[in-house]
Amino acid sequence: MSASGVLSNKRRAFYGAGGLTAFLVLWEASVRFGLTPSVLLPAPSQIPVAFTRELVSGQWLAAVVSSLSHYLVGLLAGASLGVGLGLVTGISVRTEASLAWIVRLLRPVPGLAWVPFAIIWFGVSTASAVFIIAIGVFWIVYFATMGAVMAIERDYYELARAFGYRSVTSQWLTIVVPAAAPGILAGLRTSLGQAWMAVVAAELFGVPGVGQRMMQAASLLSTDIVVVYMATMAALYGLFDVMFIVVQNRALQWKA
Amino acid sequence: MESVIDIRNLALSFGEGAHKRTVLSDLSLSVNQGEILAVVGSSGIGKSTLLRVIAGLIKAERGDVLVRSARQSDAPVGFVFQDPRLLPWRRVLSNVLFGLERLDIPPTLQLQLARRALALVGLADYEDRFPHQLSGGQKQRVSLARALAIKPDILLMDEPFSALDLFTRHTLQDEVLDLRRKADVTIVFVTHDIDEAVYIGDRVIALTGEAGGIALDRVIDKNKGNDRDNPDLAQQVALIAAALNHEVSSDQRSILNP
Ligand SMILES: Nc1ncnc2c1ncn2[C@@H]1O[C@H](COP(=O)(O)OP(=O)(O)O)[C@@H](O)[C@H]1O
Ligand SMILES: [Mg+2]
Repeated sequence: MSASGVLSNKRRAFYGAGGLTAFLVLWEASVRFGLTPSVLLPAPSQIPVAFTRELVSGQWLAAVVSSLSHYLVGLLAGASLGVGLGLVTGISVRTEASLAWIVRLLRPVPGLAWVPFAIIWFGVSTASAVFIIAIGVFWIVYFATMGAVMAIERDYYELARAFGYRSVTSQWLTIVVPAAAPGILAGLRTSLGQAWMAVVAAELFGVPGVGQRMMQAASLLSTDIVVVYMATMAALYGLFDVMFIVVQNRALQWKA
Repeated sequence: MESVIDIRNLALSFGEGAHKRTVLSDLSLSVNQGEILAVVGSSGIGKSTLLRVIAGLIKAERGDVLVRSARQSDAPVGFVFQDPRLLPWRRVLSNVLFGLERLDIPPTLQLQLARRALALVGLADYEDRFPHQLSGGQKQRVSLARALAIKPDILLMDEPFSALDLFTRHTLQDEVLDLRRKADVTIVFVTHDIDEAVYIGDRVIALTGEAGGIALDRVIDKNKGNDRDNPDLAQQVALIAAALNHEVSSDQRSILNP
């Protein structure tokens, strides 16, 4: 709120819509007046037609369903591993120390560098797409969770013990998980965006989905179809992000 | 009179080797059933440590610590910390339920006990709030309700009101006295404020850093009433302050001429 202090929300929306309209008009004009060849860049007005064609042929839905399943399964796998291991290393100094060097070794390897192994191990398949996505998600969520657990005030543990929660398990449930939740959720939200990038990257190598469809279209110079899928991904990501924020706000309504 | 806390020759230190620091050495103390024992002493002397030992949060290095629970209950000791230490993700009622949830009693009874404790501290209407929506005094009241909800035999309070304004502090002091009249509870009340100690306590002890650990152990005569401007109490305060000052200066002497 304070950052937009000078502009009301309504005004902000007005300027935002204005900027977007100007962008589309300029883009349309540059194609119409031949400033950019339409083979290289489609005009925005061509997109709805291309979209309808993809929709009618059934290819749009198939690609989206396939990509979404990669996205969700990869996200789930990476996030649960990341949260689980992060909780353990956040609490146990010994586990953290035992894993520290392994982490230091593997952490710098970019998620996409795992593509060769993904293909060798799983072939060009759903499993390999899920694998690539999960790795990227894992690191983000793992570090976020571990950091959040380590930052928990010692006083809360003392409180738990004073009120009879003496076992580690009982402290996990009463203190660790709720206290670390804001940090974990922040990590998960970052990973939502990262995972989309990984989806496209994994599918560019031929696993069926939005990425693969874009490559096919590009090889036929159907740039309008490429743009259709770019817009599709932007919309899907936006949808997930908004849904996540709603859930996050509900879960963290206790925050001041 | 029956004692509920018996400490014999308690000794405790923190750190290892060259950094070892003895906090309590050879301290013996009994607290009677139903008594309010006020504990004073300068900061860093070991007041909080003493409470933690009684609560079983840290182990004595030497000596015996015996805490008797009249009811043999599962939750004999309630703790009120210096900071309210509410769990920010729980609403007020849920914070008060914290100690109860663990106990083997039906949820409806838990709710009933929590609500009763909240009513006792005057916050019945606040059960749905989050801690960040409360004032400092209200938070400390919730912390008190959380400790009371489990109906402890012994209530340990560690400078519970020291961060509050004078008016709130006085109100809460009266609530503690009121509570003792209503419930059969033994209270160990740590404070660095001698006025508060004399007003709250049936008995005041002062901790020192020397062996033995207790510089002064005094029953406060409240037969003439426990009025804040009772000259009798003011005199008690002056006496304790004098005794403590003497202790402090003898401590300093021992530092100067070891
Ligand atoms: N967990 C701990 N580790 C090391 N030193 C501690 C610890 N807890 C307390 N101490 C030390 O013990 C001494 C007594 O502390 P404390 O009981 O908190 O004093 P008080 O409550 O009287 O101010 C202080 O010097 C403090 O630094
Ligand atoms: Mg203290």
